[in-house]
Amino acid sequence: MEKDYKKLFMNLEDARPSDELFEKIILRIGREERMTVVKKRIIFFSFLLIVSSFGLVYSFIAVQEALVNSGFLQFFSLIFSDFSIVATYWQNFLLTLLESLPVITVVISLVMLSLVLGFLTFLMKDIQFINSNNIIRKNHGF
Amino acid sequence: MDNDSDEKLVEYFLDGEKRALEILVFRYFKVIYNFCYRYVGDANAAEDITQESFVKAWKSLKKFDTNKKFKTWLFQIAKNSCIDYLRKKKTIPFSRFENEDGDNVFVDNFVDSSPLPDEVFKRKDLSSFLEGAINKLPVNHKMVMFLYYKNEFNFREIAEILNEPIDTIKSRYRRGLISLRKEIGEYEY
Repeated sequence: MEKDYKKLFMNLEDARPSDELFEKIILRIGREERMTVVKKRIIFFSFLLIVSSFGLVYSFIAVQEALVNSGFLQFFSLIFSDFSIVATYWQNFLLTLLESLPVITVVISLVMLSLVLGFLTFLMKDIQFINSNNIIRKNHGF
Repeated sequence: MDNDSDEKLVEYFLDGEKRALEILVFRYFKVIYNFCYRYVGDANAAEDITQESFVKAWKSLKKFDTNKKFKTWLFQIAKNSCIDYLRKKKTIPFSRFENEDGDNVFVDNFVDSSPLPDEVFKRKDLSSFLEGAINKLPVNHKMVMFLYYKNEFNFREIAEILNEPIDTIKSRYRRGLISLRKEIGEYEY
């Protein structure tokens, strides 16, 4: 009897998956593998973003103080108060402005700004990837 | 590597050999697809569940005990994925998976053990005829019979896959046989 039923079931045709199912599974695993990496990267970039944001705020404050202390703002304000003198001696004026500019602090704050923007871009891309993956999963009923 | 056992392939994969996973997927994607298809009765859903099952298996491979049988473990994951899918789709109530077996001792112990009539095997449309007869069985009976006859698991392994006591599995098997025999018998040769 057992053999009969075994024979009976062997006569049942197997359901045929689509030809691409194997590739789909491998791609999906690859995608999930990337998701794991991306999730770790999100944590890493979030941390860096927070740190660099603090750095950016601190460097802006430092730039502001340096601009006041170096006299740059006073020189710069001449453009509005005595424009004719500035226009006459514009070369000397430009040189003075450059000399009084706190270059290092400004460069540091620009580096901070680019770091914040860079981390933010990476973070947005990773979040976008996670979202698109979640939409795919949702569409497939999971 | 192609001829290595499943458990060996898992070890290779955990040692960093990615091809081992591809071999495992290739070995089982069709049977898992068939299992899911029988469970949910929808070809597209079965493909999605098959993908999901392999992803879940890949995620849990580190936890896999290589002393156990990989095939049984994979089917267990596929079964859980099918249930998750059906729950989310709400196509069948969850209660359908539980407590559907009564305690009818007579039914549980009485199976007609006479051979099936030869006419059954002579039918030209045997495959579609069987498909129809089997699809009339309750899903839990059907799955036990498929796992037993088609995927060649024993009752202990089926109990493990479906996470049910072995007696429940045996009972479902007997009931499945009775119902199937009845379905086949109802046909006039």
